[in-house]
Amino acid sequence: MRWDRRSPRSLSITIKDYLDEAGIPYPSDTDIHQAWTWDQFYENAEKLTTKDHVGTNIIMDKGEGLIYALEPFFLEAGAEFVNKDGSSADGYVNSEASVKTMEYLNRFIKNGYANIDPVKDEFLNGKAATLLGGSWNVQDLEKSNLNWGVSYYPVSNDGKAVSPTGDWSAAITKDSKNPEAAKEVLKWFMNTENIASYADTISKPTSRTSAYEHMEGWKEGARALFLWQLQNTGVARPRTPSYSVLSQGFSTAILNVFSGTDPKKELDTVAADFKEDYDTYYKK
Amino acid sequence: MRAAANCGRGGNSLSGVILSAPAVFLLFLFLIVPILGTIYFSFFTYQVMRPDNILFNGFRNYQKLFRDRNFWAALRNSVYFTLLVVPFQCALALGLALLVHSRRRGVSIFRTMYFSPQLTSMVVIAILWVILYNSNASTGLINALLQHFHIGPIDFLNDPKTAMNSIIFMSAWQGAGYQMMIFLAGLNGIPAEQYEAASADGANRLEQFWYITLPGLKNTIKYVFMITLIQAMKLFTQPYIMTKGGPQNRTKTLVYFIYEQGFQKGNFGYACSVAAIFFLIVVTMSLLVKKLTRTN
Repeated sequence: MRWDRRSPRSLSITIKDYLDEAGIPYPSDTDIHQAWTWDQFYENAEKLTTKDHVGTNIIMDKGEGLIYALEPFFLEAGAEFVNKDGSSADGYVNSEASVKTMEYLNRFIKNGYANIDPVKDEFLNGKAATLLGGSWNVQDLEKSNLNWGVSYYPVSNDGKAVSPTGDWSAAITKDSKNPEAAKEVLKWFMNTENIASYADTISKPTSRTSAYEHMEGWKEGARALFLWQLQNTGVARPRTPSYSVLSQGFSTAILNVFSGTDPKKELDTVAADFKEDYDTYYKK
Repeated sequence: MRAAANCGRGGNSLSGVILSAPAVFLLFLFLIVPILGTIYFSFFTYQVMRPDNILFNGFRNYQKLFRDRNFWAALRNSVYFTLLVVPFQCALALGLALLVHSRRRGVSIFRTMYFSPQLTSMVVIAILWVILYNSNASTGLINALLQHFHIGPIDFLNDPKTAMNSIIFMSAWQGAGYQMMIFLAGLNGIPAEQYEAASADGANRLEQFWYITLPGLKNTIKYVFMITLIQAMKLFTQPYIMTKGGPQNRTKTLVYFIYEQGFQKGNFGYACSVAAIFFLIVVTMSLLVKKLTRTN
């Protein structure tokens, strides 16, 4: 049994003043069909890069944040990370579409439109003009002096829209000695009132739809857009028991590519390490 | 009288055992037991996500380890770091100690300044240096300074050629203060009369350093060298905070590799085998250094 909250981790958050200076119209926050495409995202990052700030921030962190925030680009390109039952990554994480996506993302770093080592709160301090951010950014932005706005996660050039999801979950293991008692505890933890209070405090949407009657600010504005994305374009991270190896391998691979190595070679290594892990520990 | 003396000795032994028992117990619990546990689990296939499937596999983890190019790369990185940081940090520490080994007014301020990086957590220091090293001159102080001389920008932490050397530099800067204090204590132990006599015999400062200071500090140098070497081989915090083992695995040390295998990938059994080999390597290096620097 599982209960979970879902958190759309990435939207385009923009500093409007920088867009004004560069003569870029604000991206839409009401119509997904007017969202920035990959090409627009890249071209705007180029125009927005000056000696004082870079065009965008695409590095959430150098660990789990990489696969979490950047997976949608791969899915939008038609690449998957693993097969349907999560037993193989060869031909998926290292597919031609994956390689092309890596090359696209690397262009931001290679050309200086995004920092490979963004300082903490780079966007909040005005050092990046746009941010692939998340719902938790909204709380800080509302307290800041930035003139900011939100839009959808960049869509592929042919209009395919995907956004990331996934946050903390609670679960009961199959070996639990008291599953019924554990279930009752979790039902209380995750009841409407408690989940609404928790989600409100940390500014994250919840998968329990009834909670929104008790939560403020989710019917309009930035939070409403997050919720729309969650419900319409959200995709979970790859489902596989070897996820920890996949995630760690992907992070290493993409950072290596950002520092100049060959994407195909790096992704082949990810696929090979995945196979070794899955075959050793999970293959029936 | 002999009986009385023996009673006294027995009583002292018992007191010693009782007084040291808590420390020995804690040492056993937090040092010996984990080491034995590590060696034990190194012979098992143990993935933390499969606690139902912990299987004895003999030496298979060790066979995998010796075939694993990532292990050899991590070992190479650890040895490279150690070979450079130990002499650099010790030389820097000795130099600082000689500078502040003076009765001049105000020198204690410098002693405090040079020691102050030791007072701050390495995590904090590493985060600060990530900012200092930032490749963007509007953020990174070092690149901002270099820009004035029309140099760079240098991507210190993301260029495979400079990443490890950047970590070596900041590690030596952070650690030299502690060794400086040890060298200062050693310098204070060298009788001033030796310098006076040497000076009277016409020896210059360099000769005095070579023939009096260095021999006088021999045991101190051995001690500082040994502890710096052990600490260097255990490098983890700096690559974890600053580079995550990259770029291109150039800063992934053995301890980082153990952490990655055990805590990121959950390959607990394999991580234990690497940890066991790491333990052997450090013990061997320490014994070798001790033997090479032993005087008759």
